[in-house]
Amino acid sequence: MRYLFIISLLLGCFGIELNAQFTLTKGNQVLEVGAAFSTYYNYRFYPTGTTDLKKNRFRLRDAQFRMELRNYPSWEARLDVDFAGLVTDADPDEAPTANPLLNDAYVVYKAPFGVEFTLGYQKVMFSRGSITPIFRNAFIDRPAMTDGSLFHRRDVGFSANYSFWKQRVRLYTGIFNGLGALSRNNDPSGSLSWTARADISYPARYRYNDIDLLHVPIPMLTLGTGIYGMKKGADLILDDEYILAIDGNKIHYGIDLSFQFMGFSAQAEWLHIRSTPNNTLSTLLEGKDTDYIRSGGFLVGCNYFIQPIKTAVSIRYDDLNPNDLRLTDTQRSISFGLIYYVEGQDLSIRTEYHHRLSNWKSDDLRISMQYLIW
Amino acid sequence: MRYLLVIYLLTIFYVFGYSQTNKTQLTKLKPIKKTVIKIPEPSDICVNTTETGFYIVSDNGYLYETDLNGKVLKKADYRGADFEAVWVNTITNEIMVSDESLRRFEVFNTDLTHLRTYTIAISAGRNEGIESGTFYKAKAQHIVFTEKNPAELLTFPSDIDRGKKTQYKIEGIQEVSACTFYANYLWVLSDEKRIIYKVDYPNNKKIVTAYSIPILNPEGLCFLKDGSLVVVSDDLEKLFFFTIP
Repeated sequence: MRYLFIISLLLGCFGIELNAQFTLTKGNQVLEVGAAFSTYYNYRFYPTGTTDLKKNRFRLRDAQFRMELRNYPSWEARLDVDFAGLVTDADPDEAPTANPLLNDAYVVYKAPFGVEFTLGYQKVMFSRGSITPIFRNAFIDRPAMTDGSLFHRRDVGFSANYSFWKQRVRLYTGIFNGLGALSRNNDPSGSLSWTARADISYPARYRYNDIDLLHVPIPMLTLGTGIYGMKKGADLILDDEYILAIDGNKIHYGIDLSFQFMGFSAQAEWLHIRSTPNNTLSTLLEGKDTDYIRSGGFLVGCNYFIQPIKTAVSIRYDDLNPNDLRLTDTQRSISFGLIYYVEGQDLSIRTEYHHRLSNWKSDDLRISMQYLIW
Repeated sequence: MRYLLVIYLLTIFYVFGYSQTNKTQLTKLKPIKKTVIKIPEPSDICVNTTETGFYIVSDNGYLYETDLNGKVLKKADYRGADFEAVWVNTITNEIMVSDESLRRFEVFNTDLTHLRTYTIAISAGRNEGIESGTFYKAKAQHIVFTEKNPAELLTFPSDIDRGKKTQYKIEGIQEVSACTFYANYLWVLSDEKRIIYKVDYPNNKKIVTAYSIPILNPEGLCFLKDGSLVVVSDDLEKLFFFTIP
């Protein structure tokens, strides 16, 4: 631990001027190449007597390589690979999109009438907490509510988005395989999932960013809502509690809100899921007299960016009930975070502490560094 | 123990981070007037050649001419990729536009007809290329800035094909979104900090004064004949007018 203190001390002294991604141009084409790295050390406060201390370790969270090609004015393509996904001991209970090898592989066409069409492996535009890039997030890991444990954050499919009113209103819709991770075939149902999202911002467009680094001079607000439906032919349950997919119908509803003004920012999100198994005797129903399961929760976070010391402080409360038919599995956490921006968002050092309420897991302390060239 | 860790790290960051703060004294400005403009994502502005209106460029690659209230009078047929800077070469009376992503200067005449293109080799991220430009008539120079990482001042002769560029770094300016010459000073706008720096150019190239403006995403600035400062906001698609004290 003491070595981590010394390392953080030394890193805090640096004033490094970092460079952006590399760019090549040819006619109307622009190719950008960039990379992003993040590594953290996690220390879990296991109860006395615990012998399996596997979560006390360094973890390479991100080792991303990204290429973006733009062929102005109408075409774009992105390839984003995360070599941190090459883990040899992948946790089968972890969400498939928690550490994928492939983040993005898609092509975009920008039609003259303002709609953008995207085809390929891409983010599913449903939840703000899921859409916000991890490097723009207040914490290095998302809570289970938005980390891909309850719905697929990425999938292969086709989507369209349109914005108007000076990009204050954004509309998205998409259809996907409904499997999340890459797969040669669909599941036996052969059916697709679908999603739709709308968000409105005022008085100007609102970017997906948790921390108000710019200390915006006017109050800004964004409100979003999404719906995500799927009807698949196989159950996919993580860690015996998170219902990611079901042999039956699953529909997700979400509402999210974000606010920022003069360095202060806040986010809130509510998620509700209704899963209806085809098999009325499914073990997921816990033998109860019902034909569906409800899951969901909410999170609330507040942040403040202290400009003179380039540091953001954050606090987040998240509350998740993975299955309302089980009475004792509610998960609540309160998290505290500190981000020191050595050089803007290109180089930052984070410390965060996750305190688990309701004793569903031990507390975690995490120290990380993020380095971006993009 | 856990709480002591948080306090410890906070203290470290405060002690070492504070030394890196920008201590330039700021004068706060407030807008005296604002107008909405029907130009999507405006990214720079300059006064037109007759000083009866503005040239404004947008992120989607178009050049517009407006009246002094921002009402669009004309739009160029030529479309670029990502126009980020506009200024007038006051020797040739040509309109210069920087296409940041494609690393080009596009040249237009005063009826917004596209004349020619220069390709400029810049080593920077796609969205951190030449973000601003102005013309220094006394030395027949184009002055442009790369946006950041690094924010550098580059000079080109009036005839860009001739001669080579020179590069300077202005101490205290880390990010630039617009610049202009007025009253024998170089005025440089940083949209991330929402500060306008008045720089003594070409003498010692130091910041003389700085002004803070309470405008969301300010991306262009220019001065009118009467000394009024005009700033264009990209996100709000508005012009804001100020009086400099």
